[in-house]
Amino acid sequence: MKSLYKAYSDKAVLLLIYIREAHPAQAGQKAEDAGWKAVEGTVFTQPKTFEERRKLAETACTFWELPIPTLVDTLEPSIGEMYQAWPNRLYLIDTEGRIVYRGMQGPQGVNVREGEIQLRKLLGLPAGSLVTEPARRAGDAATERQPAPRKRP
Amino acid sequence: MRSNRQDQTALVAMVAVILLAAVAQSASSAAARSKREVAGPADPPLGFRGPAPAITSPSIAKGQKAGIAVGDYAPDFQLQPVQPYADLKRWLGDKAPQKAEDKVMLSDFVGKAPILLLFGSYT
Repeated sequence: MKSLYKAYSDKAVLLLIYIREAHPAQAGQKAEDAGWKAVEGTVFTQPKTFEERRKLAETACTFWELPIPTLVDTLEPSIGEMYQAWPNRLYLIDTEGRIVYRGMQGPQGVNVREGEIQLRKLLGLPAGSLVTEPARRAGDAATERQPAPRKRP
Repeated sequence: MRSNRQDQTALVAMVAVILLAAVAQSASSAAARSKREVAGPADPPLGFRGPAPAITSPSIAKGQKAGIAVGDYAPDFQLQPVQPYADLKRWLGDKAPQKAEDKVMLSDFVGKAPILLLFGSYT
């Protein structure tokens, strides 16, 4: 997503909508027990209030060093539910406000590369020179957060 | 027995009637078309995914029928950004959030550039 943002942020509006957690930690779980679901003491449980979600979004954006403007979804009404976007999904909207591309509902179907191809079409750019990796998946937190695999001793 | 002159007169009369009918039909179609333009495009029947009707201004204005299928107007929303990003200021100008509690609307971006929305969370 960072490469996508770097390449297209002057040609298109890129927005990340931070929605309901896909695989939250258990309620009341301590940071030391939450593994990767805790970042610097913040445990990613399912938020019960907007402020809790906002805090998680801030922590995630800092952790990922995300330059993309991130909007925090409300709990009720949920924009993520309105767009049937949980756990993650890509939409492309043209300058008339119409949806021109709707990605598959994630995480298995979300494909940043496909989104980039559609964006280039909409911008009237040639098909080549893609900046996203073929296997890269949008918002696939596991892809973003997983450290490099350890070498076996 | 009819004379050649009578035949010619009858033929001219028939042609005139046909021409008048064609003119009347054309005028009727133009009036109907004009009425549709004033009223706006009619909603397509359910399940119909034809070419999108032309709209005159870029907007997802209130009252427009929104949905989440390709071709639909994107449902508008108003959400709070995590911080006042420089990008928001660049796209929105004076409408960009100034304070932490300020919100942005999707429709404020419409017409400026294509919009790529990515929904997701940390987990």
